[in-house]
Amino acid sequence: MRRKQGTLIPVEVAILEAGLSLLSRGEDEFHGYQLASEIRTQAGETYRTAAGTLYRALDRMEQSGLLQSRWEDPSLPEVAGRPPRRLYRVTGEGASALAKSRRPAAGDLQSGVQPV
Amino acid sequence: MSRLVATAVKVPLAWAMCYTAGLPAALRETRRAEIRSDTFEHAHDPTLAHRPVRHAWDIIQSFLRGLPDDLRWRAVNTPGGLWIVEVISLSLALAILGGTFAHAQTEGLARATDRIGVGVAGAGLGLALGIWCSVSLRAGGSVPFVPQPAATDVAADTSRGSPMTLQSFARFSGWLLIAAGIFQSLSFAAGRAGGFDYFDGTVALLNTIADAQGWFVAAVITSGLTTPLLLPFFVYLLLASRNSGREWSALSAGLFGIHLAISLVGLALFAVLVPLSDDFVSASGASAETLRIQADNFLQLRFIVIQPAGVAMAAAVAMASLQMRRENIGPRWLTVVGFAHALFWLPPLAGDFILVFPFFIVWTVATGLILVRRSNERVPLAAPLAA
Repeated sequence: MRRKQGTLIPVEVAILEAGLSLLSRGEDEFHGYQLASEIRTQAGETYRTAAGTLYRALDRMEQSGLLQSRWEDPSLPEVAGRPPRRLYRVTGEGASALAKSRRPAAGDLQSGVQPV
Repeated sequence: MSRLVATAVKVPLAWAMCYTAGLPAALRETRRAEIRSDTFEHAHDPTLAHRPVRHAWDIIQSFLRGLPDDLRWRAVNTPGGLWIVEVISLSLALAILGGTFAHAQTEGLARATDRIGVGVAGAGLGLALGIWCSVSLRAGGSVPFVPQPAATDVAADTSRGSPMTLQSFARFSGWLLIAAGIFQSLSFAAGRAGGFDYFDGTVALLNTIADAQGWFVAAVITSGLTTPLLLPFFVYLLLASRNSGREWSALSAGLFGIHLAISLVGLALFAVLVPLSDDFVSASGASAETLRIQADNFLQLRFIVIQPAGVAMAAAVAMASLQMRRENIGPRWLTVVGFAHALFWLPPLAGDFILVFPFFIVWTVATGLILVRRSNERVPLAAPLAA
């Protein structure tokens, strides 16, 4: 499928907003469930991001350069007695894509309607 | 962690083992490790710990709602996987359509086994058609029945600076959809006011026009009115799907093409097989009894024309709703209305027009309003989609 550069779908906007919100609180890296909880906090208790939807979107966003990820140091989960976490970070490209998506279709108003 | 939560956690873990099976080791293990981490964090979420039932349900719900995306992820990561998903979806949709078509024709058959047999044969034909469409697409062709070359020509013309744009075409088709909804509402209301169903309302209108203009003109104006009003909308969807690179979504236009073909054949049959009586022609107004006779004649054509054309239209509407949702044009509830409308064309509800048409009216008017509003906002109406 073709995808226009910079076009975000709602789940991607929610992920970037939640990621930047965590960053503003000093957490520059976050794991998937932490992100899901942040989205839930921002959107209200009734909103749930399904695991499959979230991880598919994270996968796609990493491939398009909006996010970066790494697996945490294996010694940490061993000490904490939990599975290792994959930590994500919003890239500069991700932040600009979000800023662009928040602008109300300025490009479309300037360039007129989109040709077929 | 409660036993209930511990059991719930096993479900997404087992599912992850299933849908990642057979993938390259690195990809498979990365995904499984991520799901292991997610379910662990979810199971140890302190905000949910004091309510074990809700906690377990939260885990199961998250797993269930993510299933389609898990399957799409698997399809994207399997060579030819997306095509397999398309083959299955398209073939199943056409099998249901074919089965319904065929089953609707069997009212005259006495033996239940014959009726089932005809239905199964129709479903088999639909299945074969679905596979044929998919193979055709895979080979670089287009969806059969879709006037793809015409769409490509229009698209090429508009790209060269023609004043017609997707936005202006969307607005035009939106207004026509609203007009179609209003026409349907008037027909429906006329029928209900006279104690008839939708088609009686149409026949009442038909007779009034026929009195002044002649039968064939009346049939063209009334029975054929909704279909031409809807035509630009499906052409728009075809153009939009081409614009977003999602050519498979052109299926909705193809289904509408089937509806159009059956309707045109039906119109000819209608003009030939339901002649006006001399009494009616000489009457200055149509009595309830006359309308009832005309309606009966009209409904005799139901199993030849209306049922198949209706199922094709319902399938086109359902696919169009899905496409509008996927192109970020329409809201989720519109998709629900589109599919609810289609549901009433399937057995055992098939032909219950009192249930079908309110859904159809809501769908056409709402879709028209959305298109008009969004085209005024100048928001791109065919945003390209994610993989």
